[in-house]
Amino acid sequence: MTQESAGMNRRAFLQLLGCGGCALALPGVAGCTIAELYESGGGELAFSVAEPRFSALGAVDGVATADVAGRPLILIRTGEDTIVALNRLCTHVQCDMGPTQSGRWDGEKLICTCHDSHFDAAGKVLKGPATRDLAAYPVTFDPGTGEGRVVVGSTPEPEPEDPTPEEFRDLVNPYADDDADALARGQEIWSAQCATCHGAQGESVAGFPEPVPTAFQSGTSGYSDGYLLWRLRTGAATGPENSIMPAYSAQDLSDDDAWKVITYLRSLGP
Amino acid sequence: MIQRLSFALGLALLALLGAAAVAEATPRMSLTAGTPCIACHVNPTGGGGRTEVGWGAMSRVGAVTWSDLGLDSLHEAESNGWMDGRIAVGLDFRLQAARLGNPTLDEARGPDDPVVPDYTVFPMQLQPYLVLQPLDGLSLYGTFAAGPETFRGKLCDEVFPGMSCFEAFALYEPKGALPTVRLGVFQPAIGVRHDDHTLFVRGDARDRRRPIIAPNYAEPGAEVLLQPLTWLRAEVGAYAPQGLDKTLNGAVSTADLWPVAYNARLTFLPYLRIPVEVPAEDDGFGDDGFGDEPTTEDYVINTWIGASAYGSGDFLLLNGFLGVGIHEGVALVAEVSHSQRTLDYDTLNAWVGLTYTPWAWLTGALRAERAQTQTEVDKEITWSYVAGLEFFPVPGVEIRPEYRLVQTESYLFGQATAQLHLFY
Repeated sequence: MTQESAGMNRRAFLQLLGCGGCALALPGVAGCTIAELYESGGGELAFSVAEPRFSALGAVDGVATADVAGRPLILIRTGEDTIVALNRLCTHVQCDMGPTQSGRWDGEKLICTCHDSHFDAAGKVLKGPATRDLAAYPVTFDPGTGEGRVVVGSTPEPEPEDPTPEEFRDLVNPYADDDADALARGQEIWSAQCATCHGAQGESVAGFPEPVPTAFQSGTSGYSDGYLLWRLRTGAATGPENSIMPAYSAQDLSDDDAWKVITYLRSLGP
Repeated sequence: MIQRLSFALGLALLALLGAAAVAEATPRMSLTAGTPCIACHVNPTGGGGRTEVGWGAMSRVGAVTWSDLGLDSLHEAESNGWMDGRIAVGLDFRLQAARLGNPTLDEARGPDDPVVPDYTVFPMQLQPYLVLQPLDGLSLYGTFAAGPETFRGKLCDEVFPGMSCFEAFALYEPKGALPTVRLGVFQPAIGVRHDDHTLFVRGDARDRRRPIIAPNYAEPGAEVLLQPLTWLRAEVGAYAPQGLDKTLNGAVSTADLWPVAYNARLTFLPYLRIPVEVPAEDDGFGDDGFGDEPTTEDYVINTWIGASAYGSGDFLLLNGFLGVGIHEGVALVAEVSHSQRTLDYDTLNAWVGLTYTPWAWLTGALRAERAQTQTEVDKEITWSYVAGLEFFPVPGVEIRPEYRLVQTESYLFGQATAQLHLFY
């Protein structure tokens, strides 16, 4: 071996050791994996087959896509009354299984055309290479109106529990909404005892301190008869904080008059 | 001086190598060497089987050469061909380690604990080449890209919709000023050729597994290549867009294609030569009048700037590209790509890459990319940043560690990857 080639060997060895080592070590040095998801909280989507983007859902086996709270969804009408919503990213290598991308619904299964993974309508893997099921999201769908709703992520806020005590809950106003006598008597009582705070038409009295007593003007149709009677009987005890609404006992206001006031109150609602 | 010349020659030869089949190296090597891809590859647009020059350069580049290892018989091998170069062979094999896919949400675990794919080591490319030269100026080229399914009985494994598992063409390069003609199944000259599927420039930000122009994309067609001046090159071709139809019209038709696709690419290749005085080296004999005078060498800046249009029916893909390279091994490449199709569905992608090759066997690379897909109802933008090395420990072996960071509308994902590339 010549002196020159021996020198080259040493240099090459050092180069190999230095730079080659750096090259091989790079994944280790920078090997930390970063993974962060955006917009992954809960959310919901209201859809209608009347909308062009969801019109395909008007027929069985129709497919549409939508992104909700960071989830890429595929909506599939699997039957006359049913639509399912699945995460449309294949769990193998995240091919987008949207109909214009790499997905195909054949009437029974969702097929990822990238690597031929199959999923059923519930998102379960039927055939690999995917090994994890697709996330499925609850859908409500009314075939009559063609409208539906998908909820993703955290469960939506539960409906507020009806605070009406049991003894009031099932009570029903004996007077019809258009009962003239009840309306006249109700207006009479309202003007004398209620209008001071709530205003003659339930619009509240200007300058009234908080809380402004306008609760009855809006949404009265959303309250049950029993709820309104309960509020009347218990006053501030069931109202918002600082309410000065007095309680009207049966001695102050008979049941009959109370129902007439409620009849009149409902006539003020929007 | 001889050592310096050898080093410079080695560097230039490496640069002449062209892309090792499916890498983004083509621009770097072409730019730093100032030569067209066809100098080292049979394919005029680069990549794939190597010419004798390309093979020769490849066989001597490594941090440790065959000669260093005492394998002089390998070091002195002269060609990848037989019968005076009438038959030549080649091979690319790549083994990749990466987390395949993206972080995903597990509804049970919540958004703060995304599911990250496991590291997977998988064969990414196994591609042999065969080149026949029955007549002077006529080359018959064939290559087959095997995929994982090939070894499970499905010969042609189209990993990406629209890709071709083979290329086969006849290339006729007449002497003189006549144009080069290519006929067969091959990739049209679209922008800067890439077969690296991780590049976004020919992809879709909405679905990166479904690029518009797939890796190893090839169509049956014919192409004429003209280079009337050293600084001007043009390709014109016509193709049957079978692969393109698979990409754009898979499950749902998104483009009305004609039976024929057209392609044209025009490239200007100006270069700048700056004479630089090089002081004489001490030859150990003092001022004896031999080799004592400073010499003048050309400092060369190679550039190319060009554009291409590839279309059929109402699908059109426009690419613009720019490259600057110097012999010291620095290359800068930028490319912009815009596509449109029948549906309200446009893409606008771009990338810029910087490489530095301090030694022939080591290159550092940085790359930034942006991909945008605009549809009627949505606009998706994806960014990618890659830093990596291309390290050749011995001739015929490349190790490519990379760190890549991808940011989409839905996630941020950074991971280290590594690739082992064996080539002949």
